[in-house]
Amino acid sequence: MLLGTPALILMIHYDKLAQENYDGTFRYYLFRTSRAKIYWSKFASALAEIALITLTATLIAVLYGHFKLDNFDTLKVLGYSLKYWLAGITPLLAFSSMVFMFSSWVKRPFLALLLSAATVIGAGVIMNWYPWMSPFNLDYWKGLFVPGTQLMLNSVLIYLGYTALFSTLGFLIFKKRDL
Amino acid sequence: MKAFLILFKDNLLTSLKSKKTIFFLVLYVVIFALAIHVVEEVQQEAIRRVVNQGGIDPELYRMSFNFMVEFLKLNSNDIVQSFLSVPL
Repeated sequence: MLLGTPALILMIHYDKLAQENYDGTFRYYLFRTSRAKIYWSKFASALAEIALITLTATLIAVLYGHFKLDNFDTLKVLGYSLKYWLAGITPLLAFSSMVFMFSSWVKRPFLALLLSAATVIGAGVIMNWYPWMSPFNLDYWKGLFVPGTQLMLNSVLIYLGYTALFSTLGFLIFKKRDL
Repeated sequence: MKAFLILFKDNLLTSLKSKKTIFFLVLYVVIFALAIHVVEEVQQEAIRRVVNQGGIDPELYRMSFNFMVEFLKLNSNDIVQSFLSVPL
């Protein structure tokens, strides 16, 4: 979860805006709709896509365990898996908004991928000096798994804070840039 | 709102049908299935070792191990590390 989800988000989202910007297809949308609708609809659909991929993969893996493994407690593992999937929604929002920001900033999709990867690696490296700044801080992740506590509230607020920051920046860049 | 929904639906359907999405879905299924496999194998091995030693009730050990799995959030690497540190 800790490394897999950001990597998946990176690979799925990096070209969502940059590719269309590179191809110059946004101008066709802009005849009929606003930039805000384009940006937020792309962001929402990308989030739905990641959520569906992770949920489908989880359910298939549980089914695999049910049929292939002896003494496999299907209901219990299914319960855990759905709980962890739900808990992973807020980090998913934060990482997606970060990748979207870079995708709206640069014109070449590969550059968006490089910048996003560098930021993810940087967020991991910064753990050594300023752990409170890093979304990989284990305390934030652990907080997501203890429902109904102050720790969970803090974790959710931190990830929503990252989401608000990156989404706003990404949208402002997308709004101002030459398409 | 209607334009937003149409764009949302179009983007989502286009993305879901892409080869990239299907590739990562398959990759994620394989990773998750492997993680489940590792957890189950490690758990069985732990029970086998305790049974061979005699003394501790395997069911009790299974329960405590399940608790550890929950605590470690099904992170297979952590589970293997913790398992290796179990004194025998």
